[in-house]
Amino acid sequence: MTSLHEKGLRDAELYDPRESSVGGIHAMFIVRGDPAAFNLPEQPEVPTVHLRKGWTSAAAAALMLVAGTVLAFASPNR
Amino acid sequence: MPSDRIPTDESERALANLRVRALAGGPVTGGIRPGGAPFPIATGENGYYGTPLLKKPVWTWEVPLYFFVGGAAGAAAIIAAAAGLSGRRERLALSARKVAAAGGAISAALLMMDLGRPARFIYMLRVFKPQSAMSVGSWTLTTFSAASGAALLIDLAPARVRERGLARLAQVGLGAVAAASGAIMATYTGVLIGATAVPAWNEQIDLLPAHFAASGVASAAALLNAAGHDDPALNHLGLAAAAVETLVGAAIETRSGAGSQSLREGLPGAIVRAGGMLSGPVPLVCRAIAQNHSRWRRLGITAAIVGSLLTRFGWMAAGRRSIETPRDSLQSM
Repeated sequence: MTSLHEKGLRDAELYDPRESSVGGIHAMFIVRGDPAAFNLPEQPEVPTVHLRKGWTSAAAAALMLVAGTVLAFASPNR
Repeated sequence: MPSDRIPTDESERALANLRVRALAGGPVTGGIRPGGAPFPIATGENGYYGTPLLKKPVWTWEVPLYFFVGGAAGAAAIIAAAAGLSGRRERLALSARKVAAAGGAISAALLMMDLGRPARFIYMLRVFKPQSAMSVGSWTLTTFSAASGAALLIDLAPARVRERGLARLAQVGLGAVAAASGAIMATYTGVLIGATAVPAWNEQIDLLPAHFAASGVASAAALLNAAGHDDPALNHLGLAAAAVETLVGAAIETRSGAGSQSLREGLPGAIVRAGGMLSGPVPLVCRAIAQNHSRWRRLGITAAIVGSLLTRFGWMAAGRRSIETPRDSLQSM
């Protein structure tokens, strides 16, 4: 990067989103200007970051399912 | 070679010349701008080079059907356990155990059909990987179908075996395992599709597990109704599930994310909406006024089952639509 900047390509940038849930892309993209102009998302994310939220709502739903069913059958049958 | 190919032979030659000049005398100003320079920009209309930004799941029709069957079976196992605990509901508990065991077996068969060969299901069990909802689901289904099947097997045993204390205890234990794994069966499919990059699913991950749980319990209660049980508890369960489904339907209609549009537009939107109406308001009204009107009850039961089935196919279709719509993935990027 330094040698590129020395050669006069001051707008050269290295794109490697380490500070995101992707944690580095094992590939180097050297672009001139804003990476966003090249369809490179600033904050890319891996879908698995949503697992925590998903399992939390699944646990809540499962708890409600069991509690609701037990409640429905709480009164003895006639 | 097609003439509309980018880069063209001409631009390739010009680029080679530029390289020669750059090698000799450093950065070159000016240069060439072939079509789409400096970089083809992904647009909402065309995607990237006319290709969608996301890959489609390779799932076939078996998968949404499995979501329906597995959800209903899981909820049925919970009903079996709750009915067994409440006492004097042995007939209902037996029917629920049958639904759970049959559903568990059909679920496994559907997933094997989707995988192509039965042995591939065994491969799914080589590891347990908590960060993969599909791996968690494979183990859950295995536990569920084994426990629910074994619990029913005790019912089928001769009376002198069945009536023993040990057999009864085993049945209660197996029923508890089936109910616990059944609760996961009915909800994890929401996490499975929600924790993906598909905008239509991903944006609703907070809603999906509760939605699928309500859908599952609604179809389980309706199936048991259809089998001839008229326990008021089933009606209460169906009412509660229909109320939740009505709220979910309202949420889908009002959510603002880019991916939510795929749940309302086109054919997938029509299926989701039809499924929502048949799972929510229709059985809600039918079950509320059904006390002594068997015709209304039958309508509510049928609507709940068809609605639950349509819901899963609708979500699957909406996901595919949102993958094909680069607009969605660009806006959620």
